[in-house]
Amino acid sequence: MSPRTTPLHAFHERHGGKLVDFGGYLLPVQYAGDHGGIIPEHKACRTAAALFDVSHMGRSRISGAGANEFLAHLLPLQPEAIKPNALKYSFLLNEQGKMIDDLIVTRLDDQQFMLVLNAARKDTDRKVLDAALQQSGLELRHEVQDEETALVALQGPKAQEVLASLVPAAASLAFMQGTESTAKLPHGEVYAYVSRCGYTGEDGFEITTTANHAAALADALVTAGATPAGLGARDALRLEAALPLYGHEMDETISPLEAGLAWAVPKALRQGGAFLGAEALAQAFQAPDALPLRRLGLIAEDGKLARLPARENAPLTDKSGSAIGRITSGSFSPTLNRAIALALVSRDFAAAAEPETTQVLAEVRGKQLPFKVASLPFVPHQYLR
Amino acid sequence: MSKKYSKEHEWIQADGDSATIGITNHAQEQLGELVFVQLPEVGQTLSVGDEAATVESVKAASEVYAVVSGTVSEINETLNDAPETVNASAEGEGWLYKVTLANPQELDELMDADAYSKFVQEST
Repeated sequence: MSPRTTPLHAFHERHGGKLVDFGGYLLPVQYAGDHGGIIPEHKACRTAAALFDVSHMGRSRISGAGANEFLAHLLPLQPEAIKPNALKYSFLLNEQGKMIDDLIVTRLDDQQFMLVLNAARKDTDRKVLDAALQQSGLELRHEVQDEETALVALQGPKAQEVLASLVPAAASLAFMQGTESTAKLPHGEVYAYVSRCGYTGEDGFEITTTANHAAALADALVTAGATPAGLGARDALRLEAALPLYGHEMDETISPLEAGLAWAVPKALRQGGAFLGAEALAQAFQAPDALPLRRLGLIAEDGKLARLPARENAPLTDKSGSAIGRITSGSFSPTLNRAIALALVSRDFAAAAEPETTQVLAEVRGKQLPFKVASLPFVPHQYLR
Repeated sequence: MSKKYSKEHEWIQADGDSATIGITNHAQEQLGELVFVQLPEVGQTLSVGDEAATVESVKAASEVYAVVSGTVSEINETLNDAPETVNASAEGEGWLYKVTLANPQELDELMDADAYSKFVQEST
């Protein structure tokens, strides 16, 4: 199947985007021009404001009188405790308590939630969701809004200043809070749902608008000072922030407890609940030692090879040469000017590992690259608290 | 002698039985900013098609294959600390390594500047 385009396709072409198929959508790895390139775009996000097209992500609206009850049967969440316009990070689990996808849930009103899903997983997610919906017998609507809306992320220390020039309400949002508003564009005011969240470790926003106004919104944000940024910068940013990526740190064989995501499960649901995979997840919380893997952060040691990235699936050994696991995401950190990685390693190794001290070797093209266990995130989060 | 080019986007400048090798400006544009360059060892012998070097961008690693056979006589040590030199000057200061040619006739198999420029236009 040929990849689909997002409502910002013409915008990407105008800015010289180097387009690739990502999760079934044509999206820019990076843009051309004076501010283009993975490293300059990454820098724009860490020092000013960067604009990302994330319209490939799935947007599913669940509405109806039984919406709370349904979400409680679907996700390890307490929907009744989510305030209007609050966002929650959660995940969809299979019966084994392993991860089908991770997602963001926003309560829009008493009877409505928005779920934002990973592009490559949204078809699978929606099958699970629709099956659960049918089984629940609840009178609910599940609307897929991928086509009629666009989603952009504006991230960086100047994101608030840039966005508030178009959407004044953005300035008063707390972290993980949203609001329905309008954006002032040259041709008039357009619908904008603005949330204070992101995937870069910086303060920032995600903005949903209608597909036909998306390009004008992106243009206005660039005019107000945002730098267009692509998937390459986004991946380096999220890795520095130690934010997991589905298909790398998470998949259908990995428990949230192995991926370092236990924090996202409300305490009241750790002994069980109505949600998918509740029984297996409760078992995992009761006997975490039975889970073989743990997430670990790694940073290259000083030396000639410090900038050489060890990438996904690079095998890892301890100092004595015993296999301990593999890298799940590895790249060059422009902020730290050296290679960093997230890895899944054996529980025993992780339990004994000490940040800044324990050494690990990553094999790259026959070379053993020295890494040290790192404290996470690699680059501190700048979320508004 | 004038510069020759390969279909793998490398350039080679021969001078007698010595030659300097790098990646083309087109190649560096495609790769984006380099963060690491792994060079061959001085004294290493290379045959056409051998992996001679690896250039790494933030996103991916790309192999640089030997376009001619020979013995590595010098490597561009400045790239260890400044791989971005390749982006700034791919066909000048950003050269990768020098070889003593084992078989200078191999150069005849490569493209001249005009042929390479056509090759790039046709492949993009």
